[in-house]
Amino acid sequence: MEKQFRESVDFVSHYYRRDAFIAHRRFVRHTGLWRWRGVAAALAGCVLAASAAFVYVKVHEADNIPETEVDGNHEPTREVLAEVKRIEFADTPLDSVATRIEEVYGVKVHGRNSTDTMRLTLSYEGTAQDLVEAINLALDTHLSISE
Amino acid sequence: MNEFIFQKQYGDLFLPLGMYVLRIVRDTDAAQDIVQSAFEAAWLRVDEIQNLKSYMYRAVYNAAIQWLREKNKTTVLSEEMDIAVNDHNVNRSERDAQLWKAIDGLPERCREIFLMSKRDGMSYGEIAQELGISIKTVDNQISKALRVLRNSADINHLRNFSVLLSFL
Repeated sequence: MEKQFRESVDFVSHYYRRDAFIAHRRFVRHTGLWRWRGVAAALAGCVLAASAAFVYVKVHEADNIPETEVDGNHEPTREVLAEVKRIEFADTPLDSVATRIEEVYGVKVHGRNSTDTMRLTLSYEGTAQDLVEAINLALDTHLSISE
Repeated sequence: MNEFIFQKQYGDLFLPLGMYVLRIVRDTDAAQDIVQSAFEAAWLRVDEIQNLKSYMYRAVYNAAIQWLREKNKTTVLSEEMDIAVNDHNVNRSERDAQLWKAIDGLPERCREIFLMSKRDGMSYGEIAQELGISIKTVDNQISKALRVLRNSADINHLRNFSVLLSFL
């Protein structure tokens, strides 16, 4: 046991480098851990829908079309729909995911369940609405956002 | 296999696999690249893999041997080198990983002195002169480092022992 310990100490010390064998961040950045095929297709559809919505918003801005209430207080404004931001998660618990979305996008996330044990690893650029819809599709959750 | 589980195991296995490969290729950068590439290849087949740990040790072993062949370094392989994928070597790689992490966790000064002695082969007197400290301080710092490393090795040994007990 002692001999094995000393041998390992000598071996590891010989090759040790502070910046070596750093795992987690490298793999996520390199491969983009976001490979649910169905969600990828859904995201592509969401991006197209968001683009269409953005164009609609811009075209009708001058008309001062009032906001419509659809589901209580959960209908986000046009500005919330249109705002594209970048957000990253690394093995983040779902409850923290919702908090992070609120911080980054300035929205309120509803439908959170503190007992959820799922975690998310994702590098994403888009709107809060699309992100929440994609998470709902991927993780079978029922999140929604409001301003 | 669930993608989240893969990500978690990637984090847990990267360093032990790196240590395992390092014993074969004796090159830190190469060992990192081999392990990373093996994970990326495994990622493409994630749905087919049942036991990722077992799969990855075999995958990196094959990749390391291939690397040696490409570098025309197969002569470094000898019968004395115990590098086969077996419980002994997997446990050794995990012990090495614990020691690597323990060195990472040492206070900066302690780590510096420890590596000057163990890695750079400097004597206590040379280290003391280089850093402008007493030999006693050098001795204390290295003793402290070895205590930390020994504790980490003992914890790893106990962990493996408890795993063994659970199968009895």
